[in-house]
Amino acid sequence: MALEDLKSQIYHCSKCGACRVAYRQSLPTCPAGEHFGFESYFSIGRTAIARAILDGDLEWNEKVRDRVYNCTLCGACDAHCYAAMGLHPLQNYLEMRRELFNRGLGPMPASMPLVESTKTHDNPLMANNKDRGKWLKKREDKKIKQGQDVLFFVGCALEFDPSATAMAKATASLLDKAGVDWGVLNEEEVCCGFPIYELGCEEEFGRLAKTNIDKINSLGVKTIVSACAGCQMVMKKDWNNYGDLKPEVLHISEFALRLAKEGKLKITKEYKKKIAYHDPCTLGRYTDVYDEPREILKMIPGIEMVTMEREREEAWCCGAGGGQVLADPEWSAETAMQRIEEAVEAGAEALVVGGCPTCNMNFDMAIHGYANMAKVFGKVAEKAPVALKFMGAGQKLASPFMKRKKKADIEIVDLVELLDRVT
Amino acid sequence: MGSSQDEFFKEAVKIVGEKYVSADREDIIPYCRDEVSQALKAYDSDYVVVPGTAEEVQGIVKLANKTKTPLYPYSYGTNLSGATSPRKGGAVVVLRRLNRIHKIDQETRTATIEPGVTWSKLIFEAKKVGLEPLPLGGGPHTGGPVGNFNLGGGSTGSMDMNDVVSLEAVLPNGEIFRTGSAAFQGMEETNPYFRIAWGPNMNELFRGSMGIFGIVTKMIRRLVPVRAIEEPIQIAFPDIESVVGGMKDVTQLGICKQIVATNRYQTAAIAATSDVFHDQAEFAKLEDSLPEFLMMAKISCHNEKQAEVYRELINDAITKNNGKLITFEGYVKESLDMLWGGSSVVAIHYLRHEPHLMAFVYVPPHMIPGAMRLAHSLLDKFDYKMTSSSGRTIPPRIWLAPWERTECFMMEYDIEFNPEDQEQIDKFRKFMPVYFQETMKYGSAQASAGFFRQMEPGLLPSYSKLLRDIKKSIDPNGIMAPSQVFKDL
Repeated sequence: MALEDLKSQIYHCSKCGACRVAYRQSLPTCPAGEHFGFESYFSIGRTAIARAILDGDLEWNEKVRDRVYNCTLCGACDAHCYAAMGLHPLQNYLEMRRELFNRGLGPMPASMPLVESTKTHDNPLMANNKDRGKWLKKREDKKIKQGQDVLFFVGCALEFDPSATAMAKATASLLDKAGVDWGVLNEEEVCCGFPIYELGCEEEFGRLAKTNIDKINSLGVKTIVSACAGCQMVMKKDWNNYGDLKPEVLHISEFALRLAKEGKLKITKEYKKKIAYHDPCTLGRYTDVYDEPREILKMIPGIEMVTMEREREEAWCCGAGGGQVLADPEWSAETAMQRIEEAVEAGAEALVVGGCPTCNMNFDMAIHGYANMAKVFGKVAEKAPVALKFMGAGQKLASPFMKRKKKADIEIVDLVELLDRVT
Repeated sequence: MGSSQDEFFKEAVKIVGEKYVSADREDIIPYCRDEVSQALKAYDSDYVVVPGTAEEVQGIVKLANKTKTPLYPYSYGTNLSGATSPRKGGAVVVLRRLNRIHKIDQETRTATIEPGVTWSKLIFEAKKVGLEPLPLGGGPHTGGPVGNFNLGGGSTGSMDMNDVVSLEAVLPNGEIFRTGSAAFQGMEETNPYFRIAWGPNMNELFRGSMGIFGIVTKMIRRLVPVRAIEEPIQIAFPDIESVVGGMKDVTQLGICKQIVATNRYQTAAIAATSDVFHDQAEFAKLEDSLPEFLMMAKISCHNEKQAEVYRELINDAITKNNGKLITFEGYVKESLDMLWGGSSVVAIHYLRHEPHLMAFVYVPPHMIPGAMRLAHSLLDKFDYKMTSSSGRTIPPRIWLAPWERTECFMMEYDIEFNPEDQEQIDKFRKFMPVYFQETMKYGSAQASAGFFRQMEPGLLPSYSKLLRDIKKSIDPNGIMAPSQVFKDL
């Protein structure tokens, strides 16, 4: 696809501005536009830039890149524009990112190491891909075998981010408790491609998608389970451009709910807290999984769910998406802080994240600072000029909450870890 | 083209901060293109400036005088009709950061708002204390009341003609100016609630001024109570004469909060979900299920007894005009009910067709059918064809509303063009001035697509001279929105 093919979207933007404002609560929807201030950082402006490029009024350049890449790709604009106008502007900027990448202008320099690592290591974190599965007690026993029904697609974050490994372990534990016969790919899993897909690196994404699809299809599994909102999103949607993935793909919230309804997963313990539920963008807006996490949370005794001002299609992004966590960690963490404050204002004692390691990491950064970022990105961040200042001694840079001398009086917990606690 | 080396740029940075000034075309272009302007000549500004306070606006205006830089105010940014195009370069002054609701006052039933406050935001906040602004129903709620007020006749959703109590503006010389009782020194906080201070009501200088007399930085506007019963009702009419008669009679009862009417094709665009809108067969079914004209009104009263009386009165008024109450189910009902509720989504569904010129006439009710026939004959003359999502050739979509409540009705005619079809754009460009010239014979104001400035020859010379004299006296350097209203000023 080329930008030219999206003319009917781009030329039909009426500039109504539905992309900027949450339609039910009339609160901001766009982290980039609110942060940078100019229309060019909102959907409405990026689409005008796309139009100007198509009309020969503007050229592809680094200023265009900055406006297209400084975006969390949260998709709130897209959800609002579709409801109002029936258009999908997110397609425009994804295509603009591909074009900028192919012209050597994108992504933002800080994000480039993710691309390079994926090409050389099959994962964006410069980890040794052969180390996949090291978190498992019996690594070789859990290697998927021909004829097993369920593949747990672990994903790079859960494999290599030390703070997210707990999510992998919790998922494994849940599957065991429900008596599921499951396995993992270990070293045969390659990155799902989500991080570089967002950065516009289509060719490499295609290679990863095809590698995974061919391997998974050859196993004959019926179901793929993922605890990462990003992985499950590309598996459900964008891998389809590179092959016919046979098994059904389920996010852990969908699978756990199914198991609970079938009586296989038993919720036996209480969690006596007021909780707010955060919809990860790639789970909610991208794949329409809004109800399942809420439904299973309601099954937990003692939980009282409170409602944040912006939820579901209107949910405020955690700020990490679109490559921002590496390209602009401070903006990312500021955006996360706003979301946490929204949960606190709603009276929540815990903010439950719907199965997304990226959201979890970013919320942690907003509260506790950037130390964890160094652990997560390691060598990758060392190669990213912007992220470098957050490494080493810079890890002590104050988080948004620290800067404001505020205490985030709230627990951040991922859905999968919470489910493991109560089953 | 502007540059960061220009005096204006460097000084503006000192006033609003580096983050809020740009001379990059990537930042400028989005402010200089809108729905209709894509069919017209594009004008670019040299800079874009985003002040955050009235004081910063003052600083920018003083700087503009010093550097002779034209300024074009731009409020929240739902501009559809080419009216904010910066025709003489200079700077677009974006007011979206002035987004505070200073006060919602229950005693006076007013809201004190800045230009960056959207209709949607105002509706949402006012409802928390049992109030709401008129207009409701139609109009892009993503835009703001202040911008609508400045645009005046021809603005979308601007049924608020008498709802502005007082305002604060930065005059072209950079001074702060207040209207109504806020004009008395020290009264801007204590009592800004009386519309007339001394002599004429100066709010009117700014209504529809398109920024030529200054930049409105604050406005106090009326709110109305949300009552125990807020009941949307829909009434079907078979033809234009009937619907106009029905609207007139219901309006004159004085019991409905707001009244609008749409023809079949406009109703379909508003009612459809986006999925239905994109399904040709489903959309055709929807069009077929709707009446030729649909009037939508809202009963707002304290109790069921009162509502019963209102329903009876309305029923009498519509029955004698061949109208009948109609109820819908499912998404159609939901959309039509939500049209009144401050949902920015349904309220802008009417923009989902092709880009269009919102061609208006503002005339007494009895002249509406004639104006419609005139528009049809012009469209025939130009062989101007429009299609709906059903794939059918349709007449233009129509909005009707009682403007200023009773005296005049507004009829909005959506003359659509396909932005990818150069032939249709060319036809649109030929049609537009002819349509405006013809409707001027009805005494109708048009702000759309910059046509405002072409209308001056049609005015009484004395009227034109007085406005020109005011403009020259308060803006001797001609910095405020040059060429938006007067071609040469």
